[in-house]
Amino acid sequence: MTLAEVLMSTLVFALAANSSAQLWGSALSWNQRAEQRQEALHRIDLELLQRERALRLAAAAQVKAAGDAGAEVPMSCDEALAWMDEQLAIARSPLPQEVSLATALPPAPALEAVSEAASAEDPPALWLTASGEGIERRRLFAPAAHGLCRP
Amino acid sequence: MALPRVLPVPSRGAEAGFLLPLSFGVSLVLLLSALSVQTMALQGSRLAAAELEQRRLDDALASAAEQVAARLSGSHACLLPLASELWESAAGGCAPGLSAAPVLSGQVDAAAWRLVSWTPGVPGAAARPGELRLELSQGKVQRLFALDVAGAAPWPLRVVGLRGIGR
Repeated sequence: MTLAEVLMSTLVFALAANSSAQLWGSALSWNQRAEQRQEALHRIDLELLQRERALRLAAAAQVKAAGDAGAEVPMSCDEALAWMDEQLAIARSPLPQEVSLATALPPAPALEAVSEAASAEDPPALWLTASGEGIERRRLFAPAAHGLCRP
Repeated sequence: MALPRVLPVPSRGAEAGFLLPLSFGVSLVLLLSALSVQTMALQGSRLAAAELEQRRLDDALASAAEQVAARLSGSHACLLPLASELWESAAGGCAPGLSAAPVLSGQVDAAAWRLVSWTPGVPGAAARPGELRLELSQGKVQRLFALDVAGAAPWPLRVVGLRGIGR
């Protein structure tokens, strides 16, 4: 065993150990980030679907009550939009810190001209948007699709 | 006369060669294990991205179903009792000149959708929801939705509920 061999072996091992440590470090941080995003995705999913379900159930109850009272539809579509906002406020449980929920009348901000033209003759509807951690989920909720009004 | 015994002399070459291959071997194992962990992390990120994309496609289809159901509860309510194959030819109860195009395809949130089929539902005591099948033109993802209808003759049918029922 010569000194040169020892030095060479040490150098090779040190380089490999250093590269390996860097790769492990970056893999672990990627993993952590992916896990955080995954958790955020599940939270956002839960928030969005819970609110959509609350709206759906409230709409079904409203339609049934109107049917029992002999009315064909409970309200006008514009009234239905305001009613939906109220229902969302009632159903709103505290959101996790990272998740924000918004409602907006279409066209949604990111859609612009194409959607504006497409939705010009559509009955009024609300966009339910949930976002956080750079993830955004949005779903349309149209009162007419749930029997709340007739356009 | 006894022959002199030759003792084995350790070979300098064999002794000298063991450290370098050992360090190469250990280094290779270290690097390969780190690379495999990195590959697994990449795969995890890719799966998370695919899951997000899948949920967004679901959102787009659910939004498209809301749009179609809303249109079918308005001026296109006359199409509710007819299967979608008949919409173009036999829209008898509809206003003259009414086109079925707005309920056959459209765009919601930058995603283009297409109605694959509509099977009419039955209102009343033996109620059965209508089945609406939609697909996104990007990726050819399909979903099935149930559309509850109400109404009795002579009044036209109307939409009273919408929910997703799977693929």
